[in-house]
Amino acid sequence: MPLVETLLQELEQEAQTTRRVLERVPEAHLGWKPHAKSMTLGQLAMHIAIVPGGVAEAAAQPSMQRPLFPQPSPSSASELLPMLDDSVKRARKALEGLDDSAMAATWRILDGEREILAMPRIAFLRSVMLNHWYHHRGQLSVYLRQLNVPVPSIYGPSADENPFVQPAAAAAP
Amino acid sequence: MAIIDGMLQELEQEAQTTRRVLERVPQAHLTWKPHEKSMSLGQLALHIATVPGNVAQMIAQPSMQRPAFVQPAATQASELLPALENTVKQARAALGSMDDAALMATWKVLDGDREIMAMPRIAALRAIMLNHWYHHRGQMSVYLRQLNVPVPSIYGPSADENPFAQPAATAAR
Repeated sequence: MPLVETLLQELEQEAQTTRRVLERVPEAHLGWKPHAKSMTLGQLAMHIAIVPGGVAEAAAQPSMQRPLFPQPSPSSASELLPMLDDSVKRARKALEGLDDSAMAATWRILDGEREILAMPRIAFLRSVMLNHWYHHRGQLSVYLRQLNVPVPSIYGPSADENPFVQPAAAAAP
Repeated sequence: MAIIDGMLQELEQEAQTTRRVLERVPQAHLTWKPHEKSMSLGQLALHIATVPGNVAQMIAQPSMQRPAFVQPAATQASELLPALENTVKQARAALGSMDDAALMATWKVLDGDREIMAMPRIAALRAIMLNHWYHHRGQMSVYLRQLNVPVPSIYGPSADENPFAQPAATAAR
């Protein structure tokens, strides 16, 4: 299996978990943030929804200019799931067909013509499209908890949901 | 290169970032939690400092019994960096010589004799040793922010540190 297909399969599997998190983002609190320096709930949720497609499209090019990191916020929580679905589709479209040599090729971030980062394309995708995405989803789970939204199981049990619980115990009150 | 070598390289690279996060955990707030249902800072930090070795040792076996998910807390912040170094060493010792066939073999979680989860060993390592680890480190960054601890750069800029800043702009401040 081509290397890129392994990454895309992981992306699509983890997107199902991300969906369970984003669908609980409460409309009433999109402007909430846990600290003055934090992203708002809306900014963080939209960042998570759009990361895969945005990163994949940048990674499919030979290089990109130093990013500005604008963090827009959705006008409604109902935008988040369609954005996530679109983002995952765009990631597949941008990346599928890249062969292993393209994945191993060097990809760069430039500031004008000055190189500020260079790494194999696959390392960038692993780090920024995937690992960085899980990082922010973890942050969002703390936001949801503080807003008293039940937190779904992500990798294991949350305080609200335990996929490892014995069926007998689950049936009991 | 054996598949496991790529994973262990990623583990050690990400451990350097994790170190930058754990070294900022404030001793005075180890029992702080953002919500009554949350892990305390000391629980979350010790979990992060012990995940890779514990998970690697479990997955090196053919199967494991359903975990109890007990979360001990660090009693001293000074425990955390030695625990992290030790856990990375444990992961390397448990996995370092694993060949690709062993990584593709099925690994199981059992409840007594009943199978409750089965997946290729490599998928379990990817999800639980690595992705789940990044998830909790993301949560930790929200804890540190709310405790007014400057948050290090993790994958990109934090509100306190920006590795992408132009040198000229940095010098101007």
